[in-house]
Amino acid sequence: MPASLSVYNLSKVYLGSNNQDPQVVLKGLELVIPAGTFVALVGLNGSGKTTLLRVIAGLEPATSGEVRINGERADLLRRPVGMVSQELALLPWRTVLENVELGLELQAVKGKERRERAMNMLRVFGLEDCGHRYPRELSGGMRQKVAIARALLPEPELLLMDEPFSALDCQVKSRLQHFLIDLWIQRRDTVLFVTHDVEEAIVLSDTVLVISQKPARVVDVIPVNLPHPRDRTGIPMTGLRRRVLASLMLTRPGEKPAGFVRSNAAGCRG
Amino acid sequence: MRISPLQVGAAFWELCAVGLPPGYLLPMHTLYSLSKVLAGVLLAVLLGCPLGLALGASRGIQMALMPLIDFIRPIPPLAWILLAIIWFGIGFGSAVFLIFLGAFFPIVLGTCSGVRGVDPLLVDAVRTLGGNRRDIWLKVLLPGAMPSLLTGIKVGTGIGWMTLVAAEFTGVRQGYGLGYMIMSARDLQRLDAVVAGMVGIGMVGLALEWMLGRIYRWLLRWQ
Ligand SMILES: Nc1ncnc2c1ncn2[C@@H]1O[C@H](COP(=O)(O)OP(=O)(O)O)[C@@H](O)[C@H]1O
Ligand SMILES: [Mg+2]
Repeated sequence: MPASLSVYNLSKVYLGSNNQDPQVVLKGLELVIPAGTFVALVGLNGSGKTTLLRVIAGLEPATSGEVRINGERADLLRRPVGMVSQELALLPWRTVLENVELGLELQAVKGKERRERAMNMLRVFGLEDCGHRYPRELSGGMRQKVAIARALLPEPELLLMDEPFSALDCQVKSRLQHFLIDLWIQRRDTVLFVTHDVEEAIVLSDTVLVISQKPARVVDVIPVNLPHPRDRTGIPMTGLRRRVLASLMLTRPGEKPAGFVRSNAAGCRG
Repeated sequence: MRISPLQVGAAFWELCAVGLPPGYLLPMHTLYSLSKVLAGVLLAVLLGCPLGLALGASRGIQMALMPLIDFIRPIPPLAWILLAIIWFGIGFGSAVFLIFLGAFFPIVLGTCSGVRGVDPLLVDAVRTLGGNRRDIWLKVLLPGAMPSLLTGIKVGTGIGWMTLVAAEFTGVRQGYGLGYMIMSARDLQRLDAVVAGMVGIGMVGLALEWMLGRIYRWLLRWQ
């Protein structure tokens, strides 16, 4: 069952080794994601997005503050979450099917049921003919799908996605965005989708959160009340894009928001 | 003293048909030698892999043991002969020990660097999906270290085979062994038989390499 996620007053400090200064990456970050909503988190590179997801997933301890999943402290009782990282992290020695099965295997689900459920998931992703292939034999877009399928198969309460489409070319990227949103409309997972691509954030999400430069905290919450599928070039989208970019630019002292909006308007469209 | 390929060929045939000493045939020499090398390498794998895994996983263990390993590693197996005989007696045990010494370190170092080369993001992936420490070892670190571990075994087997002649300097009980045979030929001033024995060692080494290569290509078919 999709769960809600709340993050209270979260801070993360990396103590530099030896002669490095400690790095305050997150400071007093708060956010709430109701169950079944798709939230996009936008921030500039190096602002601490990956760090935030790693803390939420329990891969790094928080320095202070807490993460609650369905109201329960996530650091006390570790619960598996679905994570699609920037680098995908598919196990190269496992076939597509074996990668997708991994989550159920770790929960000791029996071989036959596991295989069946994994095959069903591959069918949803249109990957049923690739089950026996190894990750290196797949295209970038297919690998991306495998990583998402692997994260979703154990039916996680929370799906964390870290710039999953940033390495793909425009066409594949917009195809996968549509695929993801169609899938979400059917499943209604709770998704926290991190990206630095403003258009992607608006096309996909119910709410866009903008975070500041390091130390990161949420500086703007922008609801996107548009039905799917969304017209990327429509007037509401343009207005939203302007607003997100403006907030994003304010996080960077000395930048003029308007100029950035114009230069970015010629970017990739699906 | 000069020697032609033809003479070596003739000696090779003689070693197979008559044997040296007479009755002790080349295939049997090879078999005995192989069994020692196999035992030595197996021992090196059984002890070296766990040690390599521990070294690769823990900085503390590495800091504690690496100086000792780097101290023992450069001592050539030949130098150990007398100690080997004192510890393990004449024959099989000493030979296996010397071969073990040759094979052990490449296997330890290969396994260690294999574990350290595993992408930590793969470990994270298994952790987020609910994996525990055991899962991380069995499903990530071990398979991830496999290419480097197998290379270590391959190099170790090669060195173990190379150590064979030295190992059989410790003497052989049953009168069999390629290294022992070469030494007998040397004592008889039979250069042709010495070279034929060298050719035999080379051929078996080549065959071992080829076999391991086939197995590895299958094991690492995902690469
Ligand atoms: N393990 C770490 N140790 C020290 N600093 C780190 C570590 N991980 C990330 N950082 C720092 O945290 C900042 C944010 O990194 P990251 O979360 O990867 O940003 P983003 O994903 O938004 O690009 C970076 O400046 C980086 O230097
Ligand atoms: Mg990042």
